[in-house]
Amino acid sequence: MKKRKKHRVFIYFFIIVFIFILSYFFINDNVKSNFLFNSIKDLTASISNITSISFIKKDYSNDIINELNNDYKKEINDLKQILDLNTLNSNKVFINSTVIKRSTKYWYNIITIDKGEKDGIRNNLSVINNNGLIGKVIKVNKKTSDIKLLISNSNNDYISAMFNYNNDYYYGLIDNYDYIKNELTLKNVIGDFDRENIKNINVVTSGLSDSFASGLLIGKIKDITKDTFGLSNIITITPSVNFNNLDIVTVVVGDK
Amino acid sequence: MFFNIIIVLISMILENIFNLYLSNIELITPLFTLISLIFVYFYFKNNEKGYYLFCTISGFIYDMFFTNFYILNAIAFFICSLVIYYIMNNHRLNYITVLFSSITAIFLYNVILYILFIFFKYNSYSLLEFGYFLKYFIVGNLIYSTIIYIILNNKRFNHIIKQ
Repeated sequence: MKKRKKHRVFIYFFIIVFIFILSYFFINDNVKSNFLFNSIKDLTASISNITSISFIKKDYSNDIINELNNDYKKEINDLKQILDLNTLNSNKVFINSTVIKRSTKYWYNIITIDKGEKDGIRNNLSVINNNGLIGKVIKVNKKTSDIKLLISNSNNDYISAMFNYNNDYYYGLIDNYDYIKNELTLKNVIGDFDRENIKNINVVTSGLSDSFASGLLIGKIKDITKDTFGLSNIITITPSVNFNNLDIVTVVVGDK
Repeated sequence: MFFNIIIVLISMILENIFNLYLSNIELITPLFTLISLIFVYFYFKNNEKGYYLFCTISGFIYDMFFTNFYILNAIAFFICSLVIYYIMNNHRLNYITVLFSSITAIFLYNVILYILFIFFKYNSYSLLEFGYFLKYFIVGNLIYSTIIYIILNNKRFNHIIKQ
């Protein structure tokens, strides 16, 4: 009886170890996708596309047409603002797309758009909306792509950012997002700054990191403090994008 | 079986719609697919292994639908299904048991993700932030589980619970 119990404990132990080892290979954004995975992802995206967009927007009664018109007006305004943004950054190519899927907010922070490999989307491209930087493309399927949001707190993504203060450019690394305070942290900024004057200055991507194009708005400076050793500054930034409201996004192609 | 597949699929689609269009409402952060597994139990009362298998496959489909991880949710759903089955099997099947199972499943699911993500350095959240997320997961999902319970407790579907 005791032997059987021991055997059971061993089996459970090995199962747990096996699951952990298996998880190591899969809890990673850089896992290579295969044909089967891509096809299933595209299929689920199609289902999601039908249910979330067509179902909601086509099945309306007279009472809600006005509401829908307002919604379309908002959409047109968003697109117009994106077009303004497009003309400002003429050296980049922009691909507009609709968000069709979104995973559970805090854990994954992945959205899926309805443009993929056949539309010219590649891995590591920057994604913006009319307010600023949203994230980057992490997986491309035939007809869809997955985007990891800026607020995901992923440990292997550091974004090089910069800001203009007294006609000088200062650089740092965006490292963390605080959900409770809604602020990003910019670390390793070297320089002397006046605490009051630095507030509300725009922070943009510098283009020095592997994946993000330059000049994309991240947010405005909220506060500044010295790090533990007093050598560099830690700056908190209020993101310019409302990550709860992502309908239409634009993928920036060309610069990187 | 048809009912089980429908309830999980509807929950998955609803979860996507809520994530897409109602993200502004912080109090409703859906885990509807996980909650639907509690109601799937009613069909698997005498088929323990079948229930675990169904939950694991649901987790796998959930991964295909929402994430880029092949088996993460399959593992998480499997572990949650063990606990759900234990609770539902050892208590009287009523509203309180369903609520208790929902809270336990939500808590367990989040703890599993938190531990795995921290351990494999996928995300870096503090315990304070984890507590902050958790309160948003609880309210909306309990409302969802109450709504499904009310629907299933209706005269038309009453046989499902009393099976």
